[in-house]
Amino acid sequence: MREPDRNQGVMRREFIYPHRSVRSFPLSRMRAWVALGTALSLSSVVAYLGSSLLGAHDRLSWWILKVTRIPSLGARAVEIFPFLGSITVPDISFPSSRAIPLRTGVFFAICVAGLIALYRKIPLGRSFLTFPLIMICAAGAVIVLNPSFYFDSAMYEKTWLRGEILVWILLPWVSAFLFVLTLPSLAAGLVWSLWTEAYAIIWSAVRLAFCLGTLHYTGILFLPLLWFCFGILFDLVYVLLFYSMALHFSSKRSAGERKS
Amino acid sequence: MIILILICKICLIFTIVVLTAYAIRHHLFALFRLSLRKSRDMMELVGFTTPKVSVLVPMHNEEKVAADVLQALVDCDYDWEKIEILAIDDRSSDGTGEIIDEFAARYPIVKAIHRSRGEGGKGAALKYASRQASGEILLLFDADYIPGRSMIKFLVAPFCDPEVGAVMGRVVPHNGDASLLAGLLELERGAGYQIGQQARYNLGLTPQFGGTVGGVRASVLKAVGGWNVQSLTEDTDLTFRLLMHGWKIAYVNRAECEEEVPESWQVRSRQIRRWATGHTECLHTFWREWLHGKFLTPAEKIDGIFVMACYWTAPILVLGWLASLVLFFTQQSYNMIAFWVALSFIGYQMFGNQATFLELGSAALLDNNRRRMLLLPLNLFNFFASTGAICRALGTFYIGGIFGSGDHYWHKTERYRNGNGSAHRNGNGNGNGNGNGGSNGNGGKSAGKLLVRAPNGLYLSRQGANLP
Repeated sequence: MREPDRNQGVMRREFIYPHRSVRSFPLSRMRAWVALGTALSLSSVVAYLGSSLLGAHDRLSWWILKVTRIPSLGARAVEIFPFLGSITVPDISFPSSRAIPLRTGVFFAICVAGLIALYRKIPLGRSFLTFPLIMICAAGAVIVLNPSFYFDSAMYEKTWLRGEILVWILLPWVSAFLFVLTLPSLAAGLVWSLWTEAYAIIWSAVRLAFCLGTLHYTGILFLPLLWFCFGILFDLVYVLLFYSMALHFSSKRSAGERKS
Repeated sequence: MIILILICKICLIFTIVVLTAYAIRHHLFALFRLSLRKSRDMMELVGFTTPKVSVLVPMHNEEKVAADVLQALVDCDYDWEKIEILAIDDRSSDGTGEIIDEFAARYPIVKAIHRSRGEGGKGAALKYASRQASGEILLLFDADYIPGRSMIKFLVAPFCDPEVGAVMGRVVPHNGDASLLAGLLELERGAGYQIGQQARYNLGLTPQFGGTVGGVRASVLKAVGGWNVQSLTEDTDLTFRLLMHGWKIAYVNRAECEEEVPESWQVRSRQIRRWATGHTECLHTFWREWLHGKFLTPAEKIDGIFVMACYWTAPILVLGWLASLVLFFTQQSYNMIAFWVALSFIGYQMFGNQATFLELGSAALLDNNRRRMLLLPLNLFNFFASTGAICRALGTFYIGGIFGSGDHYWHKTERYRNGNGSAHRNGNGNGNGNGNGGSNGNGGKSAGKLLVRAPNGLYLSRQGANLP
């Protein structure tokens, strides 16, 4: 027997939400100005405080390395961009591939085998996996064919920070479109925008520390691969993740939920 | 080395220009659609005009889905005096022909057309059937589609405007839960129709006739040369011929029809390769004539080129990636000029891609597709995968053009509704309050012992009749 409807006489929604083909979120002029202002001010702050932010970023990386007991040989000054001046970065010791050929070979084989296994198992990820495969193979080829090739942690940090500082400058403009301009709630858009910027800086330090830790234990073999997977591409991933979360929460509030 | 760096810089600048242009376009579309208070959908005219309609359903080995689409069409609320359903058995080797014959025997509005020889491809089947159609308007549905009861009225309404030559409805996947890829494609379809098509229609640009869930005036089709049987994307081909001849294409966002999207990457890869080849063929065929089209506005011309060349962006993007990697790891990036190069590199990488994701997100927001929103970051895999597939398709296309070979074959898209209840239909419109033009044949008549009504509301053909 059918159970009586507990919500009998009550609409499942408080209002009839318009059909999706005619829905809209009108953008006001004020919203556009706020988005522009947010992007401009955040970018300016990052550009103005660039060296301080990079310094804080490095202190955080250094702290993570200390906590995880990865020894550093000291500090080295590197120039990221001329207008930012010199930044002090940790100098990490790492084994030369010539010193540990067997270990490097085993790491290489495991990594390639793992990537090939993923390649065979996940057809959707094949195009993506082609890039890491190319990178690990290229790194292996350089180690074998050009033993005198030299690359150290400071050079890696320089490459890393050069990309990241540009991401931090550009990110407010991306956030302006994704969060401030298009989310139904302006306040939520602003909060997401600021959070994404802060997260970009903190999370970059964590990722860099992870890459330096890998460098310390395995040498330069994985550096290009790590840069590809955890570098700028990863910035895109968390921006999209935050965007999807922001949309998810916003739609819950703006569209409401059924009561049964 | 200097020459290599120079070449890389030229490639990178070219990539940035192309992708920035596309990024601006996508941003404009998303923002325009989001803020659109009143879309042009002519829904207030539904039922006002009811011309004689011929519904063409080309089917090549579609026994898994044939009964569903035919039953849904029979159940449509259009006047039976003014409709004929031409079910085309296009050289099928399975039970499609029998299902069609059964429907034709039961319903006077269903006409069975058996085509046992001739050229392959949807265009050829449509050309064959169009000769036998007596309707003023030809409506098209692929076999895996399930039109709602009011669908025909929705699609016919814009034809009250004598300048409208073709009409296009919205495609909504019903099997988004079937696999990760299907879920990602649901998001993609949402962006394409809810944002792209609607914005282009409202902005007076070039909404596309998609060859299914749409219609064309029979007389106009004849006037512009009929179906192009050589084209892999006969719908895109017809779109550009219609527009060049001064006809309008209307987009009806409210006319939602459910379809099956590919659930596996192999199927999707074949589909996207066909689209890439077909679009690029259209670009080569039409670009000159298109740019000189006397009925087209400058905005339409620019947008049309964007549409035809959209698959070129994949190899251009790969070119830009390679060039930027070379520049990024050379001494060039140590000076100030390289700062801007690197900035641009990151700019297009993030900004260009963000535009597409803004479209996807905006569509999901308007559709209130809350569950799928969380899949947004995973679309990066889809993006990489599609880039690879398109590069492969265009490589084959151009190499084939040079050496006279190539993969110029219509790959039929695989169907998944196999009679075990695996059609993930949402009954009354996706569970978020979206009616989809009426239910799909609720309470409708099944075609005797041939059909079984599954718990999910779909009719299953004989192969699926093992359900209790």
